[in-house]
Amino acid sequence: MKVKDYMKRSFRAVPSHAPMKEVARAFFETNDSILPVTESDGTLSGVISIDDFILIFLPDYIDLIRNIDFIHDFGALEKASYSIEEMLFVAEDLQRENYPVLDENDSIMKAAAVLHRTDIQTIPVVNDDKLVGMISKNDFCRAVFNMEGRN
Amino acid sequence: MRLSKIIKKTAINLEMGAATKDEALCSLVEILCSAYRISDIGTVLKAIKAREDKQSTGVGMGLAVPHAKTSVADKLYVAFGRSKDGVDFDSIDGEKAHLFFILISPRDVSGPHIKALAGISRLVKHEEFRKSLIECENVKTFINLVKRAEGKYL
Repeated sequence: MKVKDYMKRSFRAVPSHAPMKEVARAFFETNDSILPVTESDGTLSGVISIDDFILIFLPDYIDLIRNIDFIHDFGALEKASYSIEEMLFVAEDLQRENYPVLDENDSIMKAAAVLHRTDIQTIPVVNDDKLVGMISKNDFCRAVFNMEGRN
Repeated sequence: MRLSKIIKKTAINLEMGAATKDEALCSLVEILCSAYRISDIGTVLKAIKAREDKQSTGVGMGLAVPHAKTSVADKLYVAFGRSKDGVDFDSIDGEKAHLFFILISPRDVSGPHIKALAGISRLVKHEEFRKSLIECENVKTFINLVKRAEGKYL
């Protein structure tokens, strides 16, 4: 059983020059927690995590606060405009380049091992560095019992 | 990420001479590389220019924040340049840029780069802060202005 037999071939990616609004829209529309970034030739450039995206908007001190239960709102930050951030970030600025990647000819068990060890939900799949699919823990469930499903 | 804690005094140039965007980028990269003793200036400049080609970091309001991730950087480095005459930087509002923050960070991590850009964005949103940077007379004042703004806005 190969990754290519069970990966999703229909997925959303953004170009490395995509503006921040396009990245936000892709996250919203796919409801995924990661978004692959590609160069113009289809090469996988990196992966944007929704957590890194949210990082832009959170105040610096958030990591220093142990208990946020007592905070009801973040004052001026709640009303801030993000026009500068919108101009400043494109997809490649947000991407992680050391994200795990699978080859489409890797075995499904290898995919399961990588997904398990890294505790990542979804991993991009490449062929000759070109992004060709995405595989998730859920796809592994389908693979072990050889179920039919969307591909 | 507190800018005042990571920027070296030698990475602040209040009298940057540049007439064009290209010259400004070269000057900024020189300031950055010289302050932090980064020898591979060519690779840094190439990375900064490649990023500018994707979208200009001239965000308007007299400000530009050229930045890039590059294998030359082992951590986040920041520098600042100010041009009294201003530089046409392909800014969104068509106005000349006078204040320049330049950042580089390693390719394999995203957090510090994002936090630094977000932190700078949060400060420069305030007209009062931008104006104070335009008017500040020396590096010591610059650092104090940044510290004060960080206390107020971050």
